Amino acid sequence: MKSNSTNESNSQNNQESGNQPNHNQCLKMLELVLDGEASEEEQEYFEQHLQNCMPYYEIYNLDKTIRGMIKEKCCKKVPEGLADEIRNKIGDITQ
Amino acid sequence: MSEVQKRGYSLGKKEEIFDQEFLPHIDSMYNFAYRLTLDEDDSKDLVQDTFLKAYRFIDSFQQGTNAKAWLFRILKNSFINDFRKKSKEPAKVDYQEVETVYNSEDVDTPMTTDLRVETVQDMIGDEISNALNSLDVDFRTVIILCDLEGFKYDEMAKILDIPIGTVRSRLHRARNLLKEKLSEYAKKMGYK
Repeated sequence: MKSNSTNESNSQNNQESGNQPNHNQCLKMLELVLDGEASEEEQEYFEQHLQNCMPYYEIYNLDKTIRGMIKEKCCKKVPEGLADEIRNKIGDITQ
Repeated sequence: MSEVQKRGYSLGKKEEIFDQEFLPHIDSMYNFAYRLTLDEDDSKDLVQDTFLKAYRFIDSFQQGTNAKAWLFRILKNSFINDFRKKSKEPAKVDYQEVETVYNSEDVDTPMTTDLRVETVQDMIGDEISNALNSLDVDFRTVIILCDLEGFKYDEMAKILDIPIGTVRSRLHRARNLLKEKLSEYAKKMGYK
């Protein structure tokens, strides 16, 4: 799913203040990039401008780090034998 | 919305689909169930119920399509219908209200946080997990689906039965709340 909303808002904003999207739009763009949902244009803007801009770079890195930590720390291990229990119950149904 | 087709799989085919397309997701499903219920026994029951339902309705599943999203949707519905009612959690906030507030202009204002990458990396204990668990269930759900399970916005919208715009706003809000929690932990831990 690609969003056009940011692009539309960008062009509006560009007319208002030169070539810079505003801060909120940049933050939304960061989130789209992080989630792999950015359009080509948004991805390109991120690579050309945002990732070289210290405040955005820090926000992006923080979000990316938190995401990495969630992957590392929030995986509850499935109890041993649960898959077999489920298979047995399915076996009871089909008999 | 595509029509639900009944496929009439043979018993052998059902077992093949179950073993090859459903069961490999048991780890993710158990983790999702745990993040919803925050209780190991309830998670086990919820995962079992989900697989039994998936088997019962296997004829409406098209082989080769996104089994994980299909299973997560069943699990989420089972949680809402069967578990949330007897959940030990306190009453929930009104999300419609939260999202209305969020979607208003001023909530787009970026959150200012003094949380630093190094601080988060130093959280080697249960801080991240506790912070996530402390969020309201609908907020932790979107974080799990997106950040941990890697679902796309449109898949999350289908799993949760909400519009994509709501997925995005809820996710944004959830991440800010998580940062607030982590920031609180950081202060308690004595980080700057």
